[in-house]
Amino acid sequence: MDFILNQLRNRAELSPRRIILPLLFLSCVIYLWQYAVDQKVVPVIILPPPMDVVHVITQNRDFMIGHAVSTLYECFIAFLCATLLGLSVSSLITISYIARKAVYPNLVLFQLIPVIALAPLFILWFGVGTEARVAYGICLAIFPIVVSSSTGLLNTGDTYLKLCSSLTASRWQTFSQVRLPFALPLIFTGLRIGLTLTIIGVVVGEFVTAQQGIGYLISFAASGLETAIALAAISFLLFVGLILFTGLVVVEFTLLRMFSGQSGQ
Amino acid sequence: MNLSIISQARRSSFPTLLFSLLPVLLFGTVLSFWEFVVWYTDYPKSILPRPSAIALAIFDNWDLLTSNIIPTASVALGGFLIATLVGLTLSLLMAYSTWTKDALYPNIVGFQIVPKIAWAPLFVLWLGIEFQSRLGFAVFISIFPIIISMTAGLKNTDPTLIRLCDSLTATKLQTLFLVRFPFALPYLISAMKMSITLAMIGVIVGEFITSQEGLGFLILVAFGKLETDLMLASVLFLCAVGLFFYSIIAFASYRLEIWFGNKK
Repeated sequence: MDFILNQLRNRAELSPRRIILPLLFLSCVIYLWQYAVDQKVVPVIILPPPMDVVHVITQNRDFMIGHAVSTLYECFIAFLCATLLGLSVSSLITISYIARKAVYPNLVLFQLIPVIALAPLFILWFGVGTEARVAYGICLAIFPIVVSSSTGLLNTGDTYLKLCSSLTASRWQTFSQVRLPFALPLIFTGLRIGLTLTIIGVVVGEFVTAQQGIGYLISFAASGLETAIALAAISFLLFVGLILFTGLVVVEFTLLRMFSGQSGQ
Repeated sequence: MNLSIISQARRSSFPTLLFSLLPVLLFGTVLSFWEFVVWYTDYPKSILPRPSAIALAIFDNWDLLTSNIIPTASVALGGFLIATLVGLTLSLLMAYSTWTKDALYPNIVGFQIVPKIAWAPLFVLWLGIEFQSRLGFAVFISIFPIIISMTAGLKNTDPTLIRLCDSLTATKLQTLFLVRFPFALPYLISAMKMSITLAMIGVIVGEFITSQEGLGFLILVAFGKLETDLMLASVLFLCAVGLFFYSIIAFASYRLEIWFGNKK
């Protein structure tokens, strides 16, 4: 996502060739895909023609939107909880030296655990419902959020901190008015990674529990050799991801503007 | 108050040994608390086994666990190596020719938005339930960081160096391999570290979906039999495999940096 944002920011770099060439390449790929299916180079079960996927989407729109909304809802709740928890932990780490020394190495150690392998454990603990998938999403997303926001909060420029102490700012004032605004870009980098991981968590949870949601739809369609439905479901997942990312980017821009306005930049 | 000054003051007044032991202490406290609470409340072992039960499960199932390391580790390593080679080739190609880059790069970046994990069942459908599907999925999931960071690295070479190469009449290939590639090496290394983790994730998810072997499969079997201690033991083995690969890459990248003269 960062790269897309950068691309959008560097709009000056855009030239007609840079727009036409990728589109040309994309349409070549789609044409080859259609051609390969038409000439029976690949069977329809393996790769359905692009029009079939579009057809599935238009025919089962309401059904798929229902599953997409369920996934979107679970991702949103999980991401919100992970953000709140992650930011509280990293604030604690920033404020207390002892907490930092005790917790931080353990956090780095915990990051080594392939959390993806814990998916069945969450079903055991939370059942096959929404709770399991939300808890799993939180568990996946929280580590990058904590690590990158505490990196941001701890690396405030020394000069600014010295200025704060010479102006007799309280700990809370230093935290809320200097450390937090400075850390915002890194916090949001962590949040973007966290959001990707939340979506991964919820979708893997849906693979394993198989009740509802886009992940369920994909694995169900793939096991029934309904590749067109699986591809259609993936494109709905793309929309879920886009909605969540757009929301996050809007929040980021609003907050950055707010804080830069406050400090009079 | 200035937090860094406070912490500096504390660092000198507290024994440093205590602070280096603090994380170990916290870890130990949490483990013994876990052990004690589960033992005291007689919590069902199938939901949360005691740490000692997990250690016992490792001991009891040693052969089962070790025999399942190879299928997972070899597929993950293979996927990682293929992804690195293909990704490197693609990004070198894109650095060499702007036309290729303009045509490919936006599509690759756009493709990134789709949560790649969602493709796992399709790989099983395409490549069967043998190791090929897991290998394919591991390559698919771990190739993107390599392409994207490597392209960024090759693009961000110091323009002065490139101008120097031009004035010394270096060919495009010479500039690429002697200047831009070593310059992009740190980007490649950080991407490789990301990539090996992703390859492991890809293999585990693949094993969850269909597999007859491997640590991910063992986790599912243990889950089916409600043997949570064996499940957590397999997770610990996965950690060990991940750590092993990670340290190999860290070491290899250190040697590479020396070889290309970035470090002494």
